[in-house]
Amino acid sequence: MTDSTGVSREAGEAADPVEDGPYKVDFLDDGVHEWHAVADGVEHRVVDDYTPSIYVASRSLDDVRGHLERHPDVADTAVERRRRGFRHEAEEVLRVDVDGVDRVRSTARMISNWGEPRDHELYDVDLSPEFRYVLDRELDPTPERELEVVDLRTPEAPTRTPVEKLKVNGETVEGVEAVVEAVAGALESRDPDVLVVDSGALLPKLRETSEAVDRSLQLGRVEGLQKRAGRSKYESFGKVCHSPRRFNAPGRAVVDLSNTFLYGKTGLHGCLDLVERSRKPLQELAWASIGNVLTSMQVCEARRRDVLVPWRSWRHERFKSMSTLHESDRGGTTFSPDVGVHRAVHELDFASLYPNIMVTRNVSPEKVLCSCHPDRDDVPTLGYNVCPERGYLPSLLERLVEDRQGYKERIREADDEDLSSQLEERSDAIKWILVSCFGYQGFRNAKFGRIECHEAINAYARELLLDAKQELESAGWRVVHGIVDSIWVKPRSSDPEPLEDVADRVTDDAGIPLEYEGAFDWIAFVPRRDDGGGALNRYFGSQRTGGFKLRGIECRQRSTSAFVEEFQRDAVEALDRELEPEVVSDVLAQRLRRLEDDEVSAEDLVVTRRVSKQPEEYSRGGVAVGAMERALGMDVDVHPGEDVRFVVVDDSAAWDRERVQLAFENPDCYDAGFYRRRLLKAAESLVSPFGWSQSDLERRLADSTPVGLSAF
Amino acid sequence: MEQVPELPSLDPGMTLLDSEDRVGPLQSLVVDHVLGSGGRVYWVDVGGHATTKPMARLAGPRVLDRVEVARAFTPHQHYSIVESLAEDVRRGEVEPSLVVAPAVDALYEDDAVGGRRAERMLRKTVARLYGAASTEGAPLLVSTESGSLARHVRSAADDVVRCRSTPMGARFVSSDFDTLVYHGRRGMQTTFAFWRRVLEARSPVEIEPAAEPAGGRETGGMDLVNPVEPVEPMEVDAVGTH
Repeated sequence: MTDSTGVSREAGEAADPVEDGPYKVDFLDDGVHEWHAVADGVEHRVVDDYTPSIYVASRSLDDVRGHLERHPDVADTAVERRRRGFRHEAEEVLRVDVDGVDRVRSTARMISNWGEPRDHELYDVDLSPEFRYVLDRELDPTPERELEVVDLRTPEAPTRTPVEKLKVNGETVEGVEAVVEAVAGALESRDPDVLVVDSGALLPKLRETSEAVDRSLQLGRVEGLQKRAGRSKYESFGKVCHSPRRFNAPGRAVVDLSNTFLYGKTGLHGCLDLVERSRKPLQELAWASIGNVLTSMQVCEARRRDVLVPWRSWRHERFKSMSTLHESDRGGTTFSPDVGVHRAVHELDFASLYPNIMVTRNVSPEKVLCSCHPDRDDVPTLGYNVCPERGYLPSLLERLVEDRQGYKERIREADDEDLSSQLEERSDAIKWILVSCFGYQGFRNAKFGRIECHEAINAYARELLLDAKQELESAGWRVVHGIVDSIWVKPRSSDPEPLEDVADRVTDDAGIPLEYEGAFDWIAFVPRRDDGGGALNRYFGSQRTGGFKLRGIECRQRSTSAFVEEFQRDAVEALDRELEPEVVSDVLAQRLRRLEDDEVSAEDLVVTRRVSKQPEEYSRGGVAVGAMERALGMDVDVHPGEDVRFVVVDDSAAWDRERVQLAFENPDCYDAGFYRRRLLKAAESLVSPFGWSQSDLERRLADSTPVGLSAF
Repeated sequence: MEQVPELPSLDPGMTLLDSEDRVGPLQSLVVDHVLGSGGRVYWVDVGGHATTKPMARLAGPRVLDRVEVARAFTPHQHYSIVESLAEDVRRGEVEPSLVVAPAVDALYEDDAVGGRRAERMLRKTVARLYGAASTEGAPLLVSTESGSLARHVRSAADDVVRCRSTPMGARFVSSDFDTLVYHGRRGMQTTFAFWRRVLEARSPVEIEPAAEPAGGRETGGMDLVNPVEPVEPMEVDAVGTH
């Protein structure tokens, strides 16, 4: 099937036997409520006979069945033939239908506690409720029309009750009654399918606010506001994040901006693209991590093949010698950058390296180290065998790679701005899945991940990068840096072979396109601060097509204040006019003067830090801890995973909380010494590739600062 | 002539290693065992104790070839690795000369498993490890984390070996052993280089003196790059996608 912008399926590929389904599913006391976004509005259906199923594999199925048949939460049981994994043949398992989605986990936990720890293995347990429902009923949760959105945001944190100021669809409303009026009006006139809020906690606060002015405000399409999950901390890409309570407004999908990765990175159409691919309804999809979306796609593949979804990951790494582990555990390959400033450098990148390795090398959890072809030696250095039969994960990824390519082609041809931005969102959504599919293979909670896949992908990537380097060098190029899938080169001989030709040859050998990314008039690789070796991912350079590429330096770090960021960007522009470290020093001198003359607005000095633990858990103080303590002192909650925004006003104050003022306090002073040090550090990053240190900078500043300037 | 440094030998039964330094003493005892006793070591790893970089620098490839590792990331994986190891030993397919299980309790502290069940899984795992080692009269070397389940492991241990850093190097104390590993000069840091010297002194033939790069980094193993020469490939830990 294909819609105006949506997912294409190959001709002949078995489409799921799915019907158009609800874009939102609610589990209320009287049954399951389906909300269908149909051409002329919303269709509401109530289903009262839904009993979700979990599966049990056990050597004593009859005993388990006997116990369960008498259990009040169990509606029915049946013995069925299912596959326990992608590598397994079908076998007899017990299907257990339970009385409602809220009984799934407790029933599973009860069964798993019977007997010895692994006597009964459970399947299809931890599927999110809406996703489970549309899978079980073979429904497609993609809405059949454009969705109506109402957007509610609090202009300034923190939100207090009653809510006195609110942005409703971009328009700011002030005053408690006006806020309630505006929200009620928007809900009534637009009958939104989606509520976008900047914090889920806004919904109960709005309700309380309406009660305060004696008006009833119904946020959902039927009465009731459900609280879904408690506050919790989780880790995403090594960062501690914070998941606030989730609120559900029946009949509407709630997108909580403080609690979504994909909606923030792509937007509504990006999310809807993934709704269609993963069959996770919009509200759950917006909330889900990328890994969770990828898992959902895998669950769909599993369902198609009668494979059950394991609850606990019992599958383990096999024993391997430490020598093999040493080979496999080396991570991505990186050449040590050639520290310094280089002119006329070209960058080449392998396109979507990791997904393409998985697609072209058939890296799939059920195919790596298959038992049917033990004698093959496929994976370089590791010698793992890979089954020649097509794996399900490479097929899934291939479709993503192709569809993304298709979107990109259509973006190039599109003359309608709306359409092209929708396609951009869809293309971005796929990109996020593709960039994370590799890391996810080695992730501890990956349902279908497998560490040997992770190792194999790395081994292939290493070989590809090394081969490419060799090819480039023998064609007369010198490699100045390489990171995982990118290589930077400059001519080694006076007459090197044209890069396009070398890239074509590498592409043919690799089966993965090595693409010409662009040329740099100059590029600087920054040394490590501690020992002068090349930092792997810190560089800045001027692209021949215009603009700069800045990586890993201060202006790219989200904690950096606008003032320091602007300085660094301006200094890079100055370097582009004259490639000498002295120009950095000149820009620096000018900014230091502004700083010392009190000419910088505090707003430009706001530092943002993400909090990773409670203030008392930090062993050492500091400005960020000071900011947290200060916030707590003002009754403003800051939880791990959230940001604190502050200005340093007196870095030498005895109490941490006196060192800073929070951004919302509108600070009217700053500690010039603190920001001077920040500027110097940012300047040092720029001059260090020229061989300058901070003391060289200081010396130059002292030499060039007119005496008695402060007298002006 | 300098005295040969002493390390506690591992006896059959379960030895609990209690050490602040997670990796150095553990890996050194394992390497020393491989060099002294031969045979194959089976190592059920948790939380990166089997990190190969220091091990590769402590000992040569011949030692690494004789240590078999499987890494667990969830309590369920840990449980089933040990289950399959015990099964392989029972069938005579595997004959360990040493079984190693660092932080044996750590994964069972996971909230998702839940109290009583976690305790049962851990007890069963420890019993299986014990069985896998003792079938062939091999020692079992474990360590624990500081969580509430550690006591179940401690109470089952036949011996506890404590390793402490002192200004004179590392000191091992057990029920029948109390020694400074190395009677060298004062101010000896129990760093990686220390363990390497100990092992070199104990097995001068087996441990080829490794070329330690000047100014090389302890964890990264990176060489400084001479900007004139073509760049050599090297590895880094987990460079993510970007």
